Amino acid sequence: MIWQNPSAWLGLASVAIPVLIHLLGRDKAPRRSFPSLRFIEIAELPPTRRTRLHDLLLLATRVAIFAFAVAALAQPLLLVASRRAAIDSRIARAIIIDTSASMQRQTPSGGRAIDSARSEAQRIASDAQTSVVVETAAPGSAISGAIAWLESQPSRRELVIVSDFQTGTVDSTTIAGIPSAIGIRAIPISAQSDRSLQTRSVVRDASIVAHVDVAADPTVVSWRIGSRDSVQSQPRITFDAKDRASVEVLTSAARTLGVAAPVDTLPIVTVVLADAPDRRALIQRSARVSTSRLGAIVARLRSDPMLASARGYADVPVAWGSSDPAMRLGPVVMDVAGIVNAIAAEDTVAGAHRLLVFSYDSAASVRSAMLLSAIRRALSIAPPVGELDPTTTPSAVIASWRRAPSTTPTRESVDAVNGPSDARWLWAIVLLLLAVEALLRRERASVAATVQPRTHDRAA
Amino acid sequence: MPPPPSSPATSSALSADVVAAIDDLELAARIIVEGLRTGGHRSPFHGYSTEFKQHRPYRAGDDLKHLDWKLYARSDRLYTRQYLETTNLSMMIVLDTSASMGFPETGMSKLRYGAITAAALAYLASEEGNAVGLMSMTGDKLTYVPARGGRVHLRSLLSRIDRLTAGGAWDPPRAISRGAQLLQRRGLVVIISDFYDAEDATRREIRHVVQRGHDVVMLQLISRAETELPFSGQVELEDLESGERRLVDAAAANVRYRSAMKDFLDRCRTSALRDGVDHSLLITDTPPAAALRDYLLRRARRIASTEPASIMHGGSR
Repeated sequence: MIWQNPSAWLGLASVAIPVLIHLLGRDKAPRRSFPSLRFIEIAELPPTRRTRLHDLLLLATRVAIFAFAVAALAQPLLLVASRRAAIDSRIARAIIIDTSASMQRQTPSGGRAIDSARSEAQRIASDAQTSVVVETAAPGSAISGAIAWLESQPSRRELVIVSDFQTGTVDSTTIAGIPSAIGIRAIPISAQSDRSLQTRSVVRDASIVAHVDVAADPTVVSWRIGSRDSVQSQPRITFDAKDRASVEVLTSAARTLGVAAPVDTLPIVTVVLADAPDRRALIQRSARVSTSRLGAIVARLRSDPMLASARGYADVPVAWGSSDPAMRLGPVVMDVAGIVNAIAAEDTVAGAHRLLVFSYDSAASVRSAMLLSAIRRALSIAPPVGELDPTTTPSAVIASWRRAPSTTPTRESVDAVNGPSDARWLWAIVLLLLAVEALLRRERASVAATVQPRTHDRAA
Repeated sequence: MPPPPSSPATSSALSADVVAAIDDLELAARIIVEGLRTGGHRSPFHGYSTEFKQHRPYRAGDDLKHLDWKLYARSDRLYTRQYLETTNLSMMIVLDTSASMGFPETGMSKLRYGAITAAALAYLASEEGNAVGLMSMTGDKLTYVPARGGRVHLRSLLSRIDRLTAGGAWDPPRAISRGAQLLQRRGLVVIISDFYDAEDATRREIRHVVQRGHDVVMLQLISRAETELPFSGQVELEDLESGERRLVDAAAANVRYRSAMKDFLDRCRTSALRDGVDHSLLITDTPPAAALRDYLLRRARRIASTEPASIMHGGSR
């Protein structure tokens, strides 16, 4: 049974009204003259007459009238089978699809995991009356928003997470924070790599850059640097002739600072040192970075921790001024003191885009070596460390998260069914009780009326 | 408690309500007495006569003036002279006017019932040539009318009875004793009361009056409401005489009250029987004429069974 207006139960306190009236509002005992009280024993006195309830049937009837009236005001709804079926059939689902890089892997059936997740989500969404699909690379952080949406829905609620459930995607702590009334369904998407990917060589410009070894699920990826040619595919450096010796030192230092990781040489990156002869001309023809791929490299440069920590190594003063045309390009690398070390720009040569990094450091400076090393890291095609994490949440844990949506209908879900409440039956009972109460009251009055004149009739 | 009289005469008698509606007490008494006469029975009241009937052995309490001294001289034995019946009887009616006699406060009260009964007895006795007097109390003062005969006296007596009102307490031993003293010679003392007050003292005084040679009649008036407690629920009862109030759960008190009232009435009846007193219980919802007729018949039968109806002890006049 559902009470559509449960606050009406506060009115249940009104049942005290007839009891109080019964106790406090009783008529004072009528006074009758009598010839002698010598045969009336004092022990016959009822000393607690105000605390004793008499005529319990009438009192119970009046209390029941109030109780049933309050219950009727609370709008009860009996959950008969048809009504419960109608309520249960209504469900709202929030479906979170993991779109992290790991979902780009292939499934055993051959397609991408993300595609399988989307098709599964579409199938689940079609079963629900209301659904929302959220694609996010961080499913854990999207859960709170999904819960908020679900709680605004009047029907039963279910949260669906479609992911490969790599460790850290969603954990049990996050699941425990989901309200119990919301059902949870975790659909793991198997993203086992194809056996043909066990060993794959990354080839760029007809040279083997790296060998990728994919063992099994959990994925184990190891990289081995291929040929030395790949190392040659480092960024070009534009410098003044007098700085040749310094540049050689610079590149050596950059290799020393950098990590042994393969680099993607497809985007052409050119470092323009401070004393480069064509620096001004390059600045004049370059533009802001607009190509997405070059923008990703700039983003990596901005987040490179080595560059950010290179405070105090600026040995070439930067003459900032409105006349410097590089200002329109915007700084790309600044140290922690806010001093600009490098500016990135985009240049187009013969229809091909390249990234120009204007350095404000001399060729022989350590910071230039840091910049060069950072560019090599930015060009690395190795996936983020998180994506290399091969472990996934165990299937038993994922299964333990699962729970069905609450079958207890909420007031909102009942409202959605839009059926009339069953209060009318309670009102009918109230009317019946009122009739009974009137009969009882009339009977009591008639008894009192017959007893009272009886004295006079017989004495007369 | 004996049930109220229900003889055929009862049904033909005027109801209590009708009698109560008659304001003129003399008229009411006459109606009742005329109704009694239609029965054709003899008067149960016996007086003195001058016509000698027989001797009987002297008994303690007999008036010494009725001793036959000549026979004593001859036989050395004490004999009392008995005479044929006459109508010269002295009757003293002692009427209780305490506040309890004012119950019930609506309809016919016990006092009104007693007044009608007293008036009927006085009328009956006076018609037969007897002397009738009245003793009652107003507050602490005794008010009385000496026993005399004659129509003028009867009217005066009835007028006095008619003016009596219920109120206050009364002292039954004092009233009974004084009423018996007012009789110049042995006579009939009729006590009309509910006998609630001074039960033991009243009984002792009645015994004394009997021992002085008077014939005592106890007419005990009880209303129907006093035989049962006809209240429901809780009721505050107020004593009509003392003004005391008591809160009573009628349902709980009813059984004990009835039992106590029955014991009281039984005590009155048995003590009267033991003392040789004529006792009759009159319920006020019984027509006065029927109740009186029933009582007189029983009295006549009792007298006839104990001694010849035409013989009355007493002295010469």
